[in-house]
Amino acid sequence: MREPTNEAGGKTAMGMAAFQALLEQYGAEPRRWPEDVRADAQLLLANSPQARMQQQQAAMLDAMLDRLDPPLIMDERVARVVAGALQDLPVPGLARRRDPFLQRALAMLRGWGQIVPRAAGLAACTAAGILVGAFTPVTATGAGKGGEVAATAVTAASDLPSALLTPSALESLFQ
Amino acid sequence: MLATKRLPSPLDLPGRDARRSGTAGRDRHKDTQVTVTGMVLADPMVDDDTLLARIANGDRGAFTLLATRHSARALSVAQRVLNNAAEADEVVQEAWVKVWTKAGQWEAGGSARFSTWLHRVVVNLCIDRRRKQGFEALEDAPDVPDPSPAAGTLIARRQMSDTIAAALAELPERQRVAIALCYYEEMSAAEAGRSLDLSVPAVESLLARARRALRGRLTALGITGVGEDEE
Repeated sequence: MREPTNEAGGKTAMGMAAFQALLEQYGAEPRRWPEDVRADAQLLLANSPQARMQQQQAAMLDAMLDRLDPPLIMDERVARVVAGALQDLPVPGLARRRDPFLQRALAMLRGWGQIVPRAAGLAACTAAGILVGAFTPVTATGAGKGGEVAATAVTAASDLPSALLTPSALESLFQ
Repeated sequence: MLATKRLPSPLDLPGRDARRSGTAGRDRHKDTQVTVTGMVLADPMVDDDTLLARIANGDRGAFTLLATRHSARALSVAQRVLNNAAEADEVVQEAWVKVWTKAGQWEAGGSARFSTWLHRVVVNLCIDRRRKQGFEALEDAPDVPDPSPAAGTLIARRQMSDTIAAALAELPERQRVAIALCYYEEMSAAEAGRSLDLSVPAVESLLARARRALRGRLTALGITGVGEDEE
């Protein structure tokens, strides 16, 4: 195929293949063509009947596409959409922008605030149960081992705080 | 100072008339005067970055102004993609809620334009919605226009518009979005690429395939004179 030439007889920068691709992508209307190739395309157009014919063909599809009714966007419609968006907005932008990590840490602390008192109560009950269980059975199990053990156990059961501080009481725990 | 408050009106929209000439929303939005949080943000200094910074601080007045400024074009994009006005309204509304919650992430003074970001959100929401719905059933497509030679003058404009809409609806999502952005909204391929998260060559490829498919579809519907595919 003969290369198109400009009025001065020189070759144009755009060939027919590139021009055809341009029409395929952007259509026939020069204002839609990318700025960096528009001048070359128009130069080719001015000098090539074949380019003009291809442009006319592309213009037919453009004409069909232009027959699609444009969206009807009235002021009222815009106002309605904006009002709807305003209604849907979550509370303050600042609250939304809080650091998620900080949010999680705060939530965790709030959770601990509920758990800690319950856990402390449970631990106290457990400790009390262990102490009571550790000292009260000695009377029953140690009854046959002599009067000294029995006496210690009775003392421990009746005076729990002082029994805890008595070395013999500790020994009796591990007997 | 007693602050005067003029709520932003859609009449302040910069791109309303420009949209028809293909320059809608292209930063021609500095013609609005409004009072936001007691401060008069006078013409023409309230740019999108400033408004977004205020929105990040929970300023609903700034939000109203920004939303009013950009909604017309966002609605146009959404309706072009969805081919349904009510759904377009819902999508744009949803997009604005996202803008509200993400405003703090906006990088002021960066290379990106807010309108591009907004269109990306809108396009993604449209695509999500279309994927959930599936494609429009063929039975719902309008009647094929009379292909007789005189038909061109007899076919009602509405019927032809519906036919074109049906042909567009059959395009794959991204081709349809590319046509909506580049052809109808007259965005550059670079701008459309940023909205679609694609390169310029990828957008150009979508456009070429879309036009080819449309030509084939319209020819199949009996519409003559749309290109080389016809017999």
